[in-house]
Amino acid sequence: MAGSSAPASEEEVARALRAASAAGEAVVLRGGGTRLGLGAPARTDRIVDLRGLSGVIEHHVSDLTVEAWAGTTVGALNRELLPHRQLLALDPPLPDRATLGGVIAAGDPGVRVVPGSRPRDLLLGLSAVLAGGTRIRSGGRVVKNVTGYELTKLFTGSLGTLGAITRVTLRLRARPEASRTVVASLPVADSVDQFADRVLAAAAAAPGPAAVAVVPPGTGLPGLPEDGGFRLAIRFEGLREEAAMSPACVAEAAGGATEVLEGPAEETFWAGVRDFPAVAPERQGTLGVAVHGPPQALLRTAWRLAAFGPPFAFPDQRRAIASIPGTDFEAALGALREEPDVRAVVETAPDGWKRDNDVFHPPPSAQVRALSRRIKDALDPTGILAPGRMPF
Amino acid sequence: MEALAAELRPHLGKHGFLLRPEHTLPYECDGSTAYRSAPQAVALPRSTAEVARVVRACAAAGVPFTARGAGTGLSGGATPIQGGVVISLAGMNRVLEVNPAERTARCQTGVVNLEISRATAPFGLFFAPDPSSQSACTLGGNIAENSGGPHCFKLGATTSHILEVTVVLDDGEVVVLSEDDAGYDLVGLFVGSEGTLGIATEATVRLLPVPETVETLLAPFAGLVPACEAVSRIVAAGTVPVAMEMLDAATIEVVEAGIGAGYPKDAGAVLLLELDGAKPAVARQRADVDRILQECGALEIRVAHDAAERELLWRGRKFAFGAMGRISTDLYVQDGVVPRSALPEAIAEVERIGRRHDLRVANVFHAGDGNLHPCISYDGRDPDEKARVMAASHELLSLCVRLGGVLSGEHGVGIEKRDSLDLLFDEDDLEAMRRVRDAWNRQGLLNPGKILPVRSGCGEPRATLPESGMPGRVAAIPGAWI
Repeated sequence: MAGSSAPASEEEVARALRAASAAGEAVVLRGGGTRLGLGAPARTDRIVDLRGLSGVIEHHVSDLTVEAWAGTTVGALNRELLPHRQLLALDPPLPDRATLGGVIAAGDPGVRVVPGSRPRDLLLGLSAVLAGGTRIRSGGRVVKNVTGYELTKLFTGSLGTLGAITRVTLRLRARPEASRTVVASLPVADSVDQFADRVLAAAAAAPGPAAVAVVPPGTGLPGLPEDGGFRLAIRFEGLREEAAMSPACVAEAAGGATEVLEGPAEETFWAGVRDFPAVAPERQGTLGVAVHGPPQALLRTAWRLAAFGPPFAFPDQRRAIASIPGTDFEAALGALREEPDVRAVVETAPDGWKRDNDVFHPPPSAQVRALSRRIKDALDPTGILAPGRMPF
Repeated sequence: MEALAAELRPHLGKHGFLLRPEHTLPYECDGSTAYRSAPQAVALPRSTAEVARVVRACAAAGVPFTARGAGTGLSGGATPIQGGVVISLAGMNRVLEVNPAERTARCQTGVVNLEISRATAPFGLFFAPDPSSQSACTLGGNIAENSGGPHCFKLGATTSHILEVTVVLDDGEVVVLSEDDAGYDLVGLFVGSEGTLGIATEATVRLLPVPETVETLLAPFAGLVPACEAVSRIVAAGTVPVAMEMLDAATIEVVEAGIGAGYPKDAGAVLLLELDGAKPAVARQRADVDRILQECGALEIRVAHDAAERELLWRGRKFAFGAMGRISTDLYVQDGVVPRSALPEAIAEVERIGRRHDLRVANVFHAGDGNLHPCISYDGRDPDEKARVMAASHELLSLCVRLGGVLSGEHGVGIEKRDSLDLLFDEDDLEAMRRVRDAWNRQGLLNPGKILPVRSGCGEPRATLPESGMPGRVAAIPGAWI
């Protein structure tokens, strides 16, 4: 049974990590726990819960930036920004539980595709406590910065293996004046290539989309009639005129019927897409698989994975996610191997599954693993932070 | 060096490994001519394998090596400050493949930035990073410096547009870093590492669709304060112009005297602003922007009606740096960033610092992201004036940090700002960076003496301006404008 600590300040985080370091305890850092299962299983002697570091430190309203403690939830921050008509445009699963530090550590890309809307783009600066208790800062609070090495990028997606993120400075944007989502039915494709080409052509027809998702049949998402086919959902947001982009171009390119979602129906729809990667009770026993790669190969993979469970694809993000029953995993791996350019990661799995199975398909190259290992050793020389979690 | 030549010439050819001083001298500096140090040799490889061979040979011989693109950098990033071998990527300049459906292009890194957009224009696509030197600078240089440009306000700097990069490591091993890989964001670490973690030889870049319509506006103001206020209000209103560039009265004067871009000579500042996107969206942005500009006291709003007029409006901005070369023998350009809301205070303070040191300072800057470019004209042959420039420059960097900003927005740290890094970071922060660098740059041979302060005892002096200025040198660097 792992011990636990709940520090309430940076000094307490440093003290907790120094103590663990001295005792040789392997430490897993946690925020809201929505993505705690990511990566390979880490040795865990102690869990350090960072939710005690919470709240906005400073909101620079006219700069559209905010500095906050890493344990603040995305939902709480966005509620606080509401009166200023500003928004942190990150949409991780379960935003009322997901913490800012957790979203950065998970590198969770959300569903938006506007240039510069990934966690790595929105993170302007951070403070972190290294394994030995040293506090470091990287980046700054301005939106353009090439002063020194980009440790902020290294911490994004580091899954708590380099240090404990304690504060973050994030870029905000003005809350969109309007939003609208066009959902086009994709006609049944004759072949996997036709499917991929059609999706990319339809997505390319949309000018400046805020989000693009290929939605599989059988997800039970509200607001969509179930007709057994794939759909392409494209969100337009911003000024009223940007949100009102004609659905005609999307419909024509997709070649199927379209419908338009607005207001609460639209919010519910995207919340469903957003929350899909977090394990829902009805999907217990399934594997949550994330696939990364070039859009065409990715879409072909998504089409093939549909035989096992619903795959969402975000071609502009070069990412797809699928929920696959554990019993079908070997067969699904066969489908994945048909595309040498895609990489799959098992994100969520039933208890114990990851102990006995590979998580990375395939793992990064030997050289990339060696380079990653050297970074880990440079910042966490005693190796106490989530050992075993990264693919090296 | 003769031994290296004997080893490498059979592979690179006689003209692929230069030793004679008259051949190596042109590689003594980049666009920041203040720092000079000629290499002992220059290698001109034509493939990733040849770069790897050169690196292996250097590593075995313990000779420092520094990669170079077009040499338009402005912080000394490509200057071989400890001598050794310069590895020029200029011969690796091909766009290898364009994939219009996936909106990507695979290129060798010696390709000139603008050539990527030229090659992809037939497909309605372009490469977004547009440093002002884009007609000369290379993709590899952009990757090394994480280059920005006017349009990165909306579209992001180079780091947002690199999907995959092939890198020759410190020992000559070749590795492909990909955004699609699980694990650490090694692409994010590598872009902006100024050639100190490896040498990029090929990259797959993200392309964006050419916008349906573009509108370029020029708004003169009585002074910088109301112009900066307009910029803040435009962003707060949710309009995201693709570029917002500001020139102060001193710059307008120099530009008009130099090239005559038609900017109003009596204005205290001009704001150059560009909107792009789908037509109805741009029309609405235009209406919002016009209203805010008027409310903030714009003296007029001039609109480009066609490509030629747009080019004319941009001309003054683009050649501001070159025009300054006409009025003095030397020019020192800074690259600090402040939060957008601090711009009026920063500019007022820049002016005071200039006056206090009796220096001529002109301001031309990326207003949207608070990226200042104070330009100090001076005569490098005058030791007293040079000392005042150094003092003022340190005060300018301190000012940016005091206002919540950073030392560099797009030019990089290089040699120029490395000894000022402690204004922003404490020893623990710097030590973490040093450990990460040393993890990849194990012998310290990869572009040594850059980014991080050199520890005392290494026998290397702190970076200073050179002993003598080189009249006209700044303006002579092709495409080296900011």
